[in-house]
Amino acid sequence: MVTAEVATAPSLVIDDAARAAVDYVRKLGREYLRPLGLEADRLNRAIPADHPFYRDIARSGFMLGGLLGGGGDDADEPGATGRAVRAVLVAEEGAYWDRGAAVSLPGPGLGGAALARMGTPEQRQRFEAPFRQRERPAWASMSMTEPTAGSDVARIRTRAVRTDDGSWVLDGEKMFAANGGRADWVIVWATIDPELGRRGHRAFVIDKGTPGFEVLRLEAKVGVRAYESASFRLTECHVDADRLVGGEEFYGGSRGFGGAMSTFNATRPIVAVNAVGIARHAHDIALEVVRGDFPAHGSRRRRALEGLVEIRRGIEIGRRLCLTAAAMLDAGVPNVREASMAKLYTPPVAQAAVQRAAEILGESGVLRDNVLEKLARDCKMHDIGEGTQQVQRRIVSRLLIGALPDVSG
Amino acid sequence: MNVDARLVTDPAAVASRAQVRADAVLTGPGPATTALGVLPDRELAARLDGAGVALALVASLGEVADLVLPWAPAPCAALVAVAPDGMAVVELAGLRIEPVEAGAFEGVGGATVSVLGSAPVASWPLDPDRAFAARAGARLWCGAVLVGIAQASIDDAIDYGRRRIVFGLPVLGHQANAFELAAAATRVEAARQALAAATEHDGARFGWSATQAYLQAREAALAATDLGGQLHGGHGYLQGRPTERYFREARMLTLLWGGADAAVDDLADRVLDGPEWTW
Repeated sequence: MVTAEVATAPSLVIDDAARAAVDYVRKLGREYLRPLGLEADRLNRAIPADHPFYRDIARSGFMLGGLLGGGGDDADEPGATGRAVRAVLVAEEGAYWDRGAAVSLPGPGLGGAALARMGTPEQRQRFEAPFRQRERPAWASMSMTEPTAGSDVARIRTRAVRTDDGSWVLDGEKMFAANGGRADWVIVWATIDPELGRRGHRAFVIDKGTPGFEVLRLEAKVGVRAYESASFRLTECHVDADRLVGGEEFYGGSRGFGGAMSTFNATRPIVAVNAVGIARHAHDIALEVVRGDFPAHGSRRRRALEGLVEIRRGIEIGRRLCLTAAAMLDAGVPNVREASMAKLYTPPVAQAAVQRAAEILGESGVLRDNVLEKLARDCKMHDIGEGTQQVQRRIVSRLLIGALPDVSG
Repeated sequence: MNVDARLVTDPAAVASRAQVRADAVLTGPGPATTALGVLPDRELAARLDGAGVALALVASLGEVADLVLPWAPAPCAALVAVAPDGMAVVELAGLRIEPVEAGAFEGVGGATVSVLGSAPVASWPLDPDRAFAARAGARLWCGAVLVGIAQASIDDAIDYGRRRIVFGLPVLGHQANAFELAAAATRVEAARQALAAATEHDGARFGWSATQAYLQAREAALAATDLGGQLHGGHGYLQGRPTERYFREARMLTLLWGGADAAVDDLADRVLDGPEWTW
């Protein structure tokens, strides 16, 4: 009999520095993220890059230790909260106030996460530099998705061709690069030969303004409107050899693809916990209403209380799944299954939480404010982005079932 | 069959125990022991520890004199009743015990226990938090066993689904089936982690977390054991196969101590002033 292995989750360490980071985001959230996110949603455009708020963030030195755990020098000390766990804690708090606005915060973002996992020390030093200064806000981005390759990232078609002098020429089109329109640089995934599949993947750091790099548009999304999702085109875009992330030696076998996947192992718990943060916001809206102007007795009140119980259970258990996946990553324990389970679990639970909260409020609640309507739109993104729920089911099921016997004969 | 105490202190240990059987809830000291942990009379607690002890979660101690438990350990030395504001112990002389004739635990044994109108040998008031924790302790135990059964059902389904060929592929080679398996296994993992998280707390916070974990575990077990039978097709409906036992036992266990309704009631009564959000 096959017995599914049960991973031993490392103990969760949440130190004072991690709590302070969460407190800092809470303060940012109350004062800026929530109001800016609501405004961006209403205006249907991202928060402008020259908004004074971003300048203040840069001055605070927050950029490098930002929401996605890219960079940062003070995590990973023995006994300290690990980088991935801290990123999850901060990401939940940011999403609680406004997920879109939180993602728009200056910092290296997903590009930083990829650089941290794949880049050489020299590359990290060089490309993290914009985030070590405090003079101006800076962003970075990562782009894998293409118009014809979303969930199935192995099918990307952006081509990278090596020239005689060792540099590269890239051609192709990309979508959904978070903060990609304002980023100092974007990590772009390309293939040296589509026939090689995963083995052909390479990642490059491309600066804003590089000839042949053209931002086509900022996509109009259903929700999470406060940050921009850029689509761009690469046309004979020349890239120096030292911008190949990790150097050529990194890409033995299918390590290029592995590099992308290991980045997802870090970022999926973060996107998963974003959904938890949104659910928490929905919970608090419903809680406030039930505590206030709500029938004091009767079946409607009882159903509302039971609804709050259901919402809170999803939040607390979903959060735990995300933290466990992150703690495993910090401990160097393989977390592919747990990261995908977290990402599989939390978005539907959060969507149900938002819906349940809306039902508790009923029509009168919708008249009072429309935040839950926004949260429903924001929340849906998490079941699609960073690998759809179906991608996660595919990953989890393959890990559980293993290689199936060949029955072709 | 007894289950060692690690199931309470380390519910994650259940996961690798495909052999765990639902009767552990009835015939072991487990759930009653967790309630006995708050028993003020240590001498009585020591006397009962290790014996077959029936546990009843009741709305008030006044119910104890007329209590009938459909399922209880056999042999059964005592009944411990936990109410929202107190607990009571009725020992053997005050109990009528009859073998159970049939039901979900066929072949396991068990008894119907009635209290013969006699007064409990002892009863104590409990502050609400401790009473809540005592009830949640029983639920935590039950949840851990449910996770064990759910995991066993998942493992069994994987084993069968890899070997059985349908429409030219193993059962689990069909994406529709594999996706269902992934979702069910994720629910079980969520329950396992929730149980483990609950053991990190005390008092009312423990009560809250353990009750949440129990609700998660029962949902996970119902889904996993249903899917286990489904993926077996007709074989999943035959007596004698593990999969049908998992199916029956999960459903029986989810009814103990008021099941989900009582658990949700406990949480709903507290949710407006629930414990602080914490990691």
